[in-house]
Amino acid sequence: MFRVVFILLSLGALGGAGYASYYGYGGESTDTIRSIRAGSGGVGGVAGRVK
Amino acid sequence: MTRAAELTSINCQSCGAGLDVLGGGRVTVHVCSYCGAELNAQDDYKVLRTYANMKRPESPFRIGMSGELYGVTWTIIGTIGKTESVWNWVEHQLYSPTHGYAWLVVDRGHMTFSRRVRRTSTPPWMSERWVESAEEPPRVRLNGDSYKYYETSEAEVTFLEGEFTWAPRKGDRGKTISAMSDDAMLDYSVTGAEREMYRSVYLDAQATAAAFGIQEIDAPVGNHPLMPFKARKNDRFTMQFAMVFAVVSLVMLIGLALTGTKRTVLTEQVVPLVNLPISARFEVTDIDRLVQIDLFGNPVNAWSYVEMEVIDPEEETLFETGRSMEYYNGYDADGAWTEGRRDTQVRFRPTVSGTYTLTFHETEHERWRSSGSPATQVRLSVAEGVRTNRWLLALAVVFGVMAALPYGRRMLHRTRRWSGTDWSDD
Repeated sequence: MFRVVFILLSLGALGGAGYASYYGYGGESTDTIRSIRAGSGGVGGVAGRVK
Repeated sequence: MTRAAELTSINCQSCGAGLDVLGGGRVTVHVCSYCGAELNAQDDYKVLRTYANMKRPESPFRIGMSGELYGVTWTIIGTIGKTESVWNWVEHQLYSPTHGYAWLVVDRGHMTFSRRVRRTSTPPWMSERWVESAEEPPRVRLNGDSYKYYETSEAEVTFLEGEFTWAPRKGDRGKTISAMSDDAMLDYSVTGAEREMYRSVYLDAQATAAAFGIQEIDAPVGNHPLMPFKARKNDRFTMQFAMVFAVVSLVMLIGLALTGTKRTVLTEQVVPLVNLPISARFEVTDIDRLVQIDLFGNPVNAWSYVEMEVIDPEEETLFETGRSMEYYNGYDADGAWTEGRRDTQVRFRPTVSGTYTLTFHETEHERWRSSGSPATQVRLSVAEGVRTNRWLLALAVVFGVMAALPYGRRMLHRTRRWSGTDWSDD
């Protein structure tokens, strides 16, 4: 049982790490200040996007 | 004079208590369990001396118990309590009509089995003088095994009970030099004019107690130098498969490197850091992976900080950030030195494909020396399709550690075994 779980978890970890590495997930700079976008202000509100 | 072979019990010549005779023809003395009288088994059990008020040391074994060890039925015929400094242990002399005499030693619940060695080691004896004059721990060989010096001990007899093949006395002191192999200990013992060599191996305490009909015993306390390494059931499997997965992780990592998707979208250009803000535009088509902005400034003995803003194709600010570049050099007693990094980078995930704008806003800087000059320009380049190798690298490390863990446990066990040695390189 341990062996099956170990192999399955390892294969899962390999797949996950390979996918994340391939698409660069987690590689973004962490000190960027993202702009905040709001959608519609609703009826009577301020329409459009605001930062 | 020898004892009658058919003798099975006697009465103590001192207190009259009935005593079983269990030990075979080589028994020399018999110490009464009740009054402590030492009787001469070779001379009609005459009283040689009496040891009063001996405190029985703790041991689950009693004289007369029989049990099977290594396929031989042994009977406990004698018990000796010994002490050295703060250490106390019990040695039970065993007898088998077919295999002679042996010892069962109980030390803090740990049990070892010892037999006298008739063959000689190479060299034949480990002497105190050799130990004291050696540059490295002395080694001997016996039956193909190598034994390395472990310790020199001088134990005192504190308790006697039952039959013995020689005539020990309470208060006797004997010096023993011990050497240890992977699974056994050789003891070179000198007591008076007697020189004997014993080989001891570790016994499973629970199994040994059970073999002698004892149901429950306390678990051994602490470590014993002869404790065997207990490999876990899946150690070998874990080592092998973790190593395989570590290699697979590295192969995938190499595969990523060889099949790179990184593509330059803005070739290197020099951006002067004057008359800011100043912008550069680049086209991004791959939004599945990262965009990397590389900067290389030219500060000398100064640091410079530049603020940046990236605007997406929808003319919205994607993010703002800043980067420092610094570089110092000089001379000291060790010669020329440099410090700091002039290169830096920013990575981000594009949201849509199209033309992005990077704008440098204001800068800050400070000179370390009056002669220092802050960055006046940066070399800028941008690439898309950037991946990261951190996950596969981390996984390779994790698998590597998992593969090494059983080996590390084995090394730790070896360190513990040898932690009690009194050898010092000084």
